[in-house]
Amino acid sequence: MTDTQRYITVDDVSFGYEANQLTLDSISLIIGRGEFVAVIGPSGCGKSTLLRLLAGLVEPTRGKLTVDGQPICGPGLDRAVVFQDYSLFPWMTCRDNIVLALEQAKLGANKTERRQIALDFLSLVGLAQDGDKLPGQLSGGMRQRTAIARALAINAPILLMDEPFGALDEITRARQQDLLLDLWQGGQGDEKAGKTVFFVTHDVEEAVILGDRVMVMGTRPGRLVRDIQVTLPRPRTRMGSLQHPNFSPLRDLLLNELNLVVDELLLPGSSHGAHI
Amino acid sequence: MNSLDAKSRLYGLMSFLVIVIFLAGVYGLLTDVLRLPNAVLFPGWQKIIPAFGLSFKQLLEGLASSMGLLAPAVAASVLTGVAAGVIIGLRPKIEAVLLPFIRAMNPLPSTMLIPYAIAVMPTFWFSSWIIIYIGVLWPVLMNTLHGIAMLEPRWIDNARCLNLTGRHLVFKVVLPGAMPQIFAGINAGLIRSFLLLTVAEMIGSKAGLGYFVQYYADFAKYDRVIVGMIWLSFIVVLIMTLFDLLKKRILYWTKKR
Ligand SMILES: Nc1ncnc2c1ncn2[C@@H]1O[C@H](COP(=O)(O)OP(=O)(O)O)[C@@H](O)[C@H]1O
Ligand SMILES: [Mg+2]
Repeated sequence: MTDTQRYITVDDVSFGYEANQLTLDSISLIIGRGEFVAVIGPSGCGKSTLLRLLAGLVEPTRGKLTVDGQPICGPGLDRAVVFQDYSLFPWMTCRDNIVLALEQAKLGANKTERRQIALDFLSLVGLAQDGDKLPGQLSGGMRQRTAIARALAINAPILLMDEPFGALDEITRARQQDLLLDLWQGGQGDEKAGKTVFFVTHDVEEAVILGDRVMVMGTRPGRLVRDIQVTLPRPRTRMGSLQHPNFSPLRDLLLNELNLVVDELLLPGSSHGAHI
Repeated sequence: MNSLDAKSRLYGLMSFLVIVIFLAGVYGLLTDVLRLPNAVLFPGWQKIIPAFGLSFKQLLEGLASSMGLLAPAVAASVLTGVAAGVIIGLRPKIEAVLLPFIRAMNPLPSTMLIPYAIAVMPTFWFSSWIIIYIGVLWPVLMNTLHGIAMLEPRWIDNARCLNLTGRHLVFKVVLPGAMPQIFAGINAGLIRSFLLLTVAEMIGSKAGLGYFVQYYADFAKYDRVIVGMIWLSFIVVLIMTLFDLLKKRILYWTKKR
């Protein structure tokens, strides 16, 4: 493999929150530059933990993680993180949240310029009018768009997203997926703007709609069980993907994998009702 | 939305005034009209109102003197309490060592320290000052520590992902996030400061609202005592109302919709 194909590497990583606990068990994973990787798995299998390892918020008990050849030691502004419904400080307006991130990333020459950049990115996600609002004054979908605007504004080459649309209603979620597809695909092809995305979700359709690859995680201990290429053409739209003949087989394949994972947890023979 | 808010606040104020007037009426009925309770301990309005006129200048001077003691003491407690809280609260190992000590100090009445305060401080004013200062310091410090300990992990994660450190971390995340709890501490401290005022003003000084009440109580002049208590309550309510307004301004983001 060339170096661009080995952009993010996770090499035999294990992790436990407590001393003799195994939350993640020897995870190995390679992500190429500009790749969109979706991760699914039953609740509690360690998806967020893996993302926190990549973010540098926690350190592995064993193994090694690297970005662009450099070991990950601590959080960095090269990796923008979007959490589920809580990426913003509630005491700052949406714009100020982004301005603070820009300040930290040393982008924009002065306050005025940073405010302008913040507004530009808010417009990009359709929130041009809402910069002066507090996160608490926005709907869940608007908050997540602000968080995405912030992640894009600091221009990090890597986006780590932990169920960013998990708390949204169906219609809002569908719109956010299309928006994310637009924004991400808009940057691809451009060597500098193209972003590498690690996207955690518990929604199989979302994983297929968005990802180039879908990783399926198993539980107890958390591990990778399958790595499936999504054979849908780019650029995609949500609708286009749903209607593509490859969509259903992929979804069924993934659902089946998840069922197998969940079945291992249940008593033998109770393969029904395995819900993710 | 806003006008409704103002309306309900006006309604609350009106109801409060009605209740106050009613209670004053009942008191007047019992004392001035029926002369039921002991007239020395419970003077009627006929005696209190003239006493108020006679004391007015003294009350204003007392207010100035009390505020001259209270404001610097409370301000110093808040500043040092919050600063120490941030310094200790961001260092869990140090906090673990100091917390039992701070917890033990908090409920001890600082009035116990009066002999030491008089011996150690250069003037009587400073002795009074430090009694209030110490009494207010602990609730502010404890609540600041509590507020920092209760900062939501997601805010900390966020701050870390943005590489926020030092001054930025303190002023953009730690202080705003802990501010609701800090205000609870200042609130408790303020209430305690009013209690301590009376005692603190007995040290050497011959002025202040607490002193006024205590002085006339010693001479069994209860009309003046009641005047002093009403005046003191009025000032306390005024200060707490202003404090609430300040709190609403600073904690704008915690408003429930
Ligand atoms: N801070 C923590 N301390 C201890 N255990 C944790 C902590 N966070 C998560 N866990 C445990 O680790 C496992 C994986 O959690 P998580 O990564 O959040 O899973 P997922 O995101 O896939 O739902 C779960 O069993 C969870 O209870
Ligand atoms: Mg999770």
